Parts: sequence; C-alpha cells; structure tokens
Amino acid sequence: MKLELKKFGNILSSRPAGRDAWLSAQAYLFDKLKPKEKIEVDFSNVSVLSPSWAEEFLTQLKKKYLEQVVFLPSDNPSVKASLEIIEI
Amino acid sequence: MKTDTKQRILAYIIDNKRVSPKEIVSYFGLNATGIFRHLGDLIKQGLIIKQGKPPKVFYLSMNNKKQDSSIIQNGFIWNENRAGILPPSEVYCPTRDVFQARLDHLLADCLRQFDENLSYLLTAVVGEIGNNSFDHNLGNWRDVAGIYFVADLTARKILISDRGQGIFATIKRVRPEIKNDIEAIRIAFTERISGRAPEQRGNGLKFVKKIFEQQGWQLNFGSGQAVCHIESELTSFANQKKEIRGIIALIKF
Repeated sequence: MKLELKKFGNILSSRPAGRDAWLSAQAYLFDKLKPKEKIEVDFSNVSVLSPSWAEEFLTQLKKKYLEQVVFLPSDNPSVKASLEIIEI
Repeated sequence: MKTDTKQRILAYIIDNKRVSPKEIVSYFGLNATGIFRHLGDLIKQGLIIKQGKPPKVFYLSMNNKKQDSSIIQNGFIWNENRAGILPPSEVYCPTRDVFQARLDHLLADCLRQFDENLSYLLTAVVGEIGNNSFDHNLGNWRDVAGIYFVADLTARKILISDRGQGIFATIKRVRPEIKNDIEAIRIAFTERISGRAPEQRGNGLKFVKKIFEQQGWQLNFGSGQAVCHIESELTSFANQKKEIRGIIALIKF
C-alpha cells in the first residue's frame, strides 16, 4: 500500500499531531494490510516534516512493521533532515 | 527594573521614530531625571541619537539594521518582566492550536518572499522550538500560558519566548546530576535525551542545531543564565548575567 503523508497535512510538525495520526492510521489504514505487504511512505506534497512528528509516527511505524516499511525518496530538505536525525 | 524601563523607552523611540523628551516623560509618567539618565545610557550604547538643541530636542533610534525591531524588542521585555502579563494578541499563542495556525501563515508568507527550501526548513525549526515550549510546559507555566511568537521577515528575524520552566528544570528530571543552566542547555542541544523520558523523543534541538549550522543561520537561544549561540556554522555555549524566564530564541536567517 502507498501511505500518502500529505493526507495528514501539509505541515507535519507537533508531537500530538504525529501521535494522533499514528492512532488514526492504525485504526483506519492498516487494518486491511496483508501480511508482508509493503508500506510505501510517500512524502509528496508535504512541505514541512519535523523530527517530533516523525518520531511519533514514522518511528512507531518502523518499529511495528519493520522491513515492510519503505520510505520513498523526497527532495524536501525538512524531510531529509528529519529522517536523518531520527535515524530510521 | 531600571533595565526594564530603559528597554521600554528604547522600544517607544523605535516605535515612534522621532520623539521629544517631553513626550517620553509624559508617556511613561516617571521622574524626568531618571528618564534623562536612561536616555544618556542609550546614547552611550549607540542605540539612539539626540538631535537638535533645547528647547527643540528629539531622540531617534539608530539605523534599524543595527538593532531589532520594536516588536522583537518587546518579546525580550515581555520575558524579563517580573510580573507575567499577557502579550498583545498579534504575537501571543496561548495554545498549540494558535501556534500551529500561525506556523501555517509563516510558511505562506515565507513562500511569497523566499525560496521553497529556505521556507520549509525555517518553518520546521520554528515549529520545533515553539512546539517544544508546549511539550514541556503544558500545565506547568510560571504564570502566562503559551508563547510569544513574532516573525519580522523584512528584517529576517523571528523571536519565540515562553515563561515556562526552562531547559534546566526539564533536563534535571532525567539527568539529576546536572548542576546549572549551561550544562542543561549544552545537553539539550547536543545529546539525545528527553525531558519526558521514557517517551521516544529528544531530537528537537539537535535538529535545530543541525539546520542552523548547515544553513549558516544565527540562533541565540537563552534559558536561565545560559545561552546557546550558533553563528557561521559554529555552536557555542556561554553563561550570561541576565536571567531568562523559560526560554528566548532569536533567529536570524
């Protein structure tokens, strides 16, 4: 499945927003996920990603789905810098 | 208190551009001798100049490029004030929701003036610093809840301040051995640690440091009696006499 982060907003900045997004995604997006199905994380049209949001969502996603998670490349400098700093 | 008055006088002169001593005395309602002493100090510090001869004397602020705009100065004054007072609504974010809405505006305003990469990174670091204030002080502010947040994009400066617990109190919860503000601020900017352990967090200010160093932007981030200064891709930590309540972050990009 393709996980389009733009559907959570244009500025993905705060911890509560990241936590809320994670809870929502588990309830409504991953409930039909097949075993071993890839989750392609798409950053298109996300303007701002901060490490706080990323830790609450992407770190949890990676922790739960491990190798199933694939981060699609992004040219956005805040996406690149946040992914580097949270080391996932 | 003396410093406070001096800064208020400076802010008043910057706001009004050219003012007579009579206007200043009347506006502040203080003893004229004290006002003239402050004006003398401000001249010595190179912040204002005196123009004309009695009885037609005026005070002017120096070149605006050399100093912060009054709305930025007022952020410092707000933080320094002993009594917590509500900031003007245009710079006050009492809740995270208000801050988030203003962050959206900041991005839109930046995109009108600067390139996309600068706008995205600047919004990301401002978001981290502002959200950090809410993360660590919710329900625990000293007096005024929320943050003072102002962006002067013409001067390319942004100020964020809160009257919260400050970095030392936050870090000491998880590193009880630390002894002072400078140790705390150094840890906050350089080590992966969370004041809200065991939650998965603790990268916000490291991210801020990294972006400022990469972009060559300037940051003065003060808390308590310590300051983190980033300039020309170098980060340093220092003690300062002035006590900052909570935090003040002045960004120059």
